[in-house]
Amino acid sequence: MKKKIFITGSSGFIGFNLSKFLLEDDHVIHGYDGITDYYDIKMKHDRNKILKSFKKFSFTEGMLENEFLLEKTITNFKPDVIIHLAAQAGVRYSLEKPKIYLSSNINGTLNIIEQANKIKVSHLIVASSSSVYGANKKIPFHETDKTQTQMSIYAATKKSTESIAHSYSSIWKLPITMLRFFTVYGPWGRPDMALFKFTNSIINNKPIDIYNNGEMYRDFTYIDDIVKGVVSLILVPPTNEESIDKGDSLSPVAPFRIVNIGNSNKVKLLDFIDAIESCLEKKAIRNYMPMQKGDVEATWANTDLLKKLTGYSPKTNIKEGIKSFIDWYLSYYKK
Amino acid sequence: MAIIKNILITGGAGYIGSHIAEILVTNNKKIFIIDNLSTGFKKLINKKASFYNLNILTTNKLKKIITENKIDTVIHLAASLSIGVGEKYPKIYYKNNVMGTESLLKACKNSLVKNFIFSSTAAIYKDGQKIVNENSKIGPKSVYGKTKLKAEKKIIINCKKNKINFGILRYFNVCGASDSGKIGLISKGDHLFKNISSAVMTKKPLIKINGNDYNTFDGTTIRDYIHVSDLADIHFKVLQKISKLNKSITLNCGYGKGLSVKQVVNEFKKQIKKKIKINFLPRRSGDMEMIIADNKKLKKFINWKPKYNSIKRIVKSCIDWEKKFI
Repeated sequence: MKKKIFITGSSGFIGFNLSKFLLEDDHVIHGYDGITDYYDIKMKHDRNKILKSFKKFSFTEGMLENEFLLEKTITNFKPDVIIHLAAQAGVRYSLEKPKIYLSSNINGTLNIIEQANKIKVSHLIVASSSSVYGANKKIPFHETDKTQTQMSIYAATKKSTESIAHSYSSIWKLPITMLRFFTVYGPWGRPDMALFKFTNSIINNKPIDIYNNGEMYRDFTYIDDIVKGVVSLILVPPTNEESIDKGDSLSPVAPFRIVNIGNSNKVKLLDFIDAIESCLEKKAIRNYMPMQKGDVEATWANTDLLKKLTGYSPKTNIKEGIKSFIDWYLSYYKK
Repeated sequence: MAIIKNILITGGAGYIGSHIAEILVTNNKKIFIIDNLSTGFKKLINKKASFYNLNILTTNKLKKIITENKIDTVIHLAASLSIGVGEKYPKIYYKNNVMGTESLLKACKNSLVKNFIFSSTAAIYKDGQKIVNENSKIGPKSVYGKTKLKAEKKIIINCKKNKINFGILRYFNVCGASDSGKIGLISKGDHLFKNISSAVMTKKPLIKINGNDYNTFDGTTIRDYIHVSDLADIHFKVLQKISKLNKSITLNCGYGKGLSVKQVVNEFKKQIKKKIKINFLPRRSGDMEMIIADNKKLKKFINWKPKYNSIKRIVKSCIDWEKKFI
């Protein structure tokens, strides 16, 4: 059945790719995005232009903090489902400007939850982050693991939204799924992310900074896999009458669930760089640096729950994923 | 004299490292390769080696590998090696080459390591000396040369303190590829033989030469070239010798014979039977006019007889290797 879906952050990396996928599947989408200048807004406008070419897409430019506009837009559109992806992103920037993160990620998310509750959507999906696992030593990360050691303001605000969402879900019985994304990369990726920065620097003969001397591991997850994971979860809203399987993160007191979406592969940063170099057929100038404040050494998702709920598990390997990104990068910048 | 059994090669996925690995494996040595693939390539890694994708600045991880595998010999080749990039980013070169070497030496401390071979370079000699022996004037022009010289000094001090035999090998211009056909030079850069080899594979080969107004017999610069298989063999022989004699040494590695850029181009012309267009450009800053190795010390130390020292043979091996890329 075709749905009416309200997507925040629709001009962003994940929001754009998700909106496009759903539009191609003939759903009706209303996008909401603040088009902030955290990175090149031209890229956001270019993404938006593509979405606007679909008849079933409509768009409102606005901030999450603008309660009045948000309420008006959502009341008018009357979505079945809300997917809330808008956020102030970036681990490193959160050390410089923590207050932006509180306002956008915590207050902004609260506003979305209130609206979702007011119109009683069938499912509210909210983006969280693998960074909430913080300094956890036990890998891979399970949704049911304790998450009490966030290492950055960004991670802390994401953890907070999980708590706030849970409380709303338990009080008002609002079905909410929180998604913990693991290092997403791919076409239309953000310029502040590793793959983009590395590609750009290698092409322009500039050095790349490699933190913790390359002793970093990430569960790099290709954007299409993220999109497919989100889409397949739309149809699986949590209900608190289900019996809880072992390993399910479903709350005992609320229709609330947390789901990892990752490739469930631990890739060493040096291997990731080697794959970029092989694809570009060019070597980087490497500048090895110590560990950055706020960063974690390893992330690695267990995705059994996603598989159990939807039958889907991500499978794009870094070689294919990097190639798709670089093909996009070269055509976008016409090098 | 201790037996050489377990050898660690840093930079073993590189051009020279892969040739050394090949010889050591043929001689039944167990080898371990550490390489961060910053200039190396996965496909050059010897199939019989244990490989770690690791940066040598991570001392603790190095130490673990050295201890766990009972490493008795280290061949330290890992380095940043482009003269041009080094001039632009001296700090990065200092970190990778000097601090990287320090980190490795630290990891060798209180271990079973008894022998240490280091890849140094002719670029540490002062310009204008034409033929240099190991006691000639030192005075590197380039950042790259400076970092290699600093690394040499750290090695001498540390190895003496920790009773490790060291062999410092100052390479002249390395070229050619193994007869096995499996390994050779992949990266393009400021490497003369590589640049000509890849140019002659094209329909209309064009070669750019920097400077034809040098004070040499044909106006182009003169270098002492050494085939990579001969160089790799030197590593093995020097290693056996320093271990046997419990001795440390610094050696020039070159044939002791100069070839001009034009002579090299002419040999390619002869072998591929194609016209090659030459564009002469102005001199490149930092280039020496002529540098040739006095290799008496090397010859005496290992009773060395080079096998690949004909330009014909070198050029042929370059062309054979290059054909694999088309």
